[in-house]
Amino acid sequence: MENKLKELVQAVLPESRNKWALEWKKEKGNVVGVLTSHVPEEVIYASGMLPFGVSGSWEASTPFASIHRPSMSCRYCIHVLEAILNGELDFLNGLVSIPYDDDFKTLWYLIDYLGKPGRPYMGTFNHIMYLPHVNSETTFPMWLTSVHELKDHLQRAADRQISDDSLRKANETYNTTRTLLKKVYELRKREIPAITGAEVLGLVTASRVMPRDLFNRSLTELLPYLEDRKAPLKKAHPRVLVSSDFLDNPAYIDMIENTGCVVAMDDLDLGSRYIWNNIDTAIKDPWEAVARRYLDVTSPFMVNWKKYADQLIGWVREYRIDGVIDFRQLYSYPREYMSTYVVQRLKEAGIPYTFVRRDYHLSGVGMLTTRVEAFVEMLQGTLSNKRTSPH
Amino acid sequence: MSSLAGLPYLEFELAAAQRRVKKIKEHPDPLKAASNLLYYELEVDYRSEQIESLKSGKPFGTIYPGPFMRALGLVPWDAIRSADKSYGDKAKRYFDMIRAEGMAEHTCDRTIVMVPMVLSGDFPKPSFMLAGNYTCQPIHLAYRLIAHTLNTPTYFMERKFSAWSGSESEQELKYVVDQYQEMIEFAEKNVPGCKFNPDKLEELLYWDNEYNKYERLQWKLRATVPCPMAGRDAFREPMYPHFYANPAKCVDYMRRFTEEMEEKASKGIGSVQGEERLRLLWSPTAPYFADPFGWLAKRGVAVPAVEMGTMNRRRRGHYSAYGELWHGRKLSPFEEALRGLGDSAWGGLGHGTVQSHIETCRQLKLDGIVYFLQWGCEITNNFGTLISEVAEKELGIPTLILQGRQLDESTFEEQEFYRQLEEFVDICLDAKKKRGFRKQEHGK
Ligand code: SF4
Repeated sequence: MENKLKELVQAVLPESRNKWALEWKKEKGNVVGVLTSHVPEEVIYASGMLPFGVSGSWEASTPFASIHRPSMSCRYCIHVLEAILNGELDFLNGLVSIPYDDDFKTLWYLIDYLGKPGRPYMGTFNHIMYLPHVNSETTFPMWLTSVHELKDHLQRAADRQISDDSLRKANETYNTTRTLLKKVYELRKREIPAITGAEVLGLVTASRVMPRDLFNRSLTELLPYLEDRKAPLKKAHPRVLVSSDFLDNPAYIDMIENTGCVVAMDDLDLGSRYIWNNIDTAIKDPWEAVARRYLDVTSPFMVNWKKYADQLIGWVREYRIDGVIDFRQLYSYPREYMSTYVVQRLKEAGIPYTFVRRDYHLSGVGMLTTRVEAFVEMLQGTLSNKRTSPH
Repeated sequence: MSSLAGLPYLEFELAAAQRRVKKIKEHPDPLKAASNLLYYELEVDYRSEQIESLKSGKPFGTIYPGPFMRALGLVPWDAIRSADKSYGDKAKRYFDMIRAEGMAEHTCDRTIVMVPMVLSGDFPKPSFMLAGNYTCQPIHLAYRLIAHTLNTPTYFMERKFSAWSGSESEQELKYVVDQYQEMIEFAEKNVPGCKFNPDKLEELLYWDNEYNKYERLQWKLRATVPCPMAGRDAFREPMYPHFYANPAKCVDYMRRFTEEMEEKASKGIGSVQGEERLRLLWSPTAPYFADPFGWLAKRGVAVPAVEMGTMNRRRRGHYSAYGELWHGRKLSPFEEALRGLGDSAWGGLGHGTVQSHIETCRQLKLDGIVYFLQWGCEITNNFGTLISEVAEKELGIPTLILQGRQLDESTFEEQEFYRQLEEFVDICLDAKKKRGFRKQEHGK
């Protein structure tokens, strides 16, 4: 079982992440790349195509992308562009994204421009969905239209209709993933969690590169084993929460845990925020159901940062977190701006906090370790003071 | 924060504008536009209104899209414009605060400087925030941050950006209109002193349209060789009639400025020293603490336009004029004011931005583009290479890509900056000569 866990946790590594997509292409058909956790993958799944969570190139140098984008722009977008231009993503039949920020809009346009007919590195379509920043009854119909537009694109690409029933089934399949992964998150609440933070990130990212049914089966088999497991950690305290976006490399979380703490909860778009809310299958229209779920998310992208901070503080309490690491990706501005407000809220709630900027690909490990170590030591000091204090 | 926070800043700006007016009146400079006097008088009016409003407790609201905010009874809250003036030592102080607080230090200068400026009480706090995805992202992120931190009533406006092709659909227009109606209700309910006046909106639309007529006229004049508009004036962010308590005066300024340009154009007077050797497009911003436009003018290089946001599309008449039929029907004033929001290139997907650069170069007969990559201005930064490729292909003109910051001088290498400009001027002159030869050959 440990090997099975290892296989899943390592699914996102460059040497394995395309494996299932390539098999799918051989046996079943098209694969559609998905940028950001805001894209309703269920719709793609319902079309009979495989939604594939796109990682950028994990190499440090980005010679092709750097021709088009300055290095001081969203690092994930640069590495995605590199992966498109250097051929890593040649197997994709299309891409779907949302305008998470201005970087994503320009990435979409650049791909559109470079992907003009006759250019080798482009699938059949490159679609950007309109997603409102506000979840309200006024914005919802337009978002629903946007979901239907995605449906139209996919129907054309797959040359088949997407029935309500197939979407209903996809909604249920994805709900199963979320439910299973939430059980894993429950196991993080233990004094010694069953699973490390790095392993959890590995599991969630695995779900985005594997066919969903296969992932669900694998995790179902694995759960009983995890119930009895104690994570192989250097130290089980302090308990840290890591907050970030576009973090898909478990080695970053490993690096944090190796300083002598446990990442007992995360606030990641490819972690907790990816799985937190299920689709309400009681809603009769499956299109409405999926659209509602994806508009009701917490994200730096969405306007409601109060809700975001409330959720974060709620997790800190629920998972008995000792400190929060805001692990910002360089040049990703929604979080950069939002953090100032979130820090204010964490301060008011008396929650220790630090921020560290990191690149998309794994780099600067020495410097990052030093920064994180200092924070972890501070937390350890606070914890031992608490233990010795008569209060 | 005191309710009079920011008063010293406004008083400082008022005094500066008053000194300018006095100086121009006492020592008129025949080399400068006479309409400048009106421009600074308008600035005096503008700051005076803000000061009176602050003292009397009138509500302040964000400036985009302005006519609605005025019609709601809000006084312009222009922290972003004021941040533009915070270079030198002032900027250093704000950047120190930004770094110490772990704020977004690599983003667009003007948007992040606005944050400590407001949060520290150096600038008045807003009473109502209207933010939206029709601006670039750093602006609405900064607005949202200020609003969350100060607990300011906020409405976030959405447009469906897919309308980049220039044809907003009825559904998309209705989407925006519905939200504005909702926004008005929200503001009236949550912001003391807010009351929507539809007649005021109509009046402001009228004056904005009059202003736009002059903008269009000026656009044609900018195309004349030599160009009668100075690069510094092209770089100036426009102040629209709705910014002022007296919008007619703003239109009057625009009329006079246009007449002066007309006169210069008819006499063949340009805005550069000596013969106009070259005409460049500058995009989209520049270091505010330097004066590249003056430097270029001394070398006979005109900058007839700066490509900034969606302004040049408006000047070119991209949007149909007030009162014209739209999709075969007459629009309500409400719709008139909002039409074009979905089609605005600012904060859009890219097509509009790239097309606009090419159109401007074509219409104003420009010989090159200086593309200044401001840190964190992602909506423009990522298009530098692309625009340069398209400009080369479609117009045969070169592009210089510079990297830098608007307000933070610490990264500015003056010598290198001007060396690159100098080299680029030579490249453009050379390319212009070659284009001339090719034209002659074709002619033959
Ligand atoms: S368009 Fe660019 S320079 Fe202008 S405010 Fe936005 S980010 Fe800053």
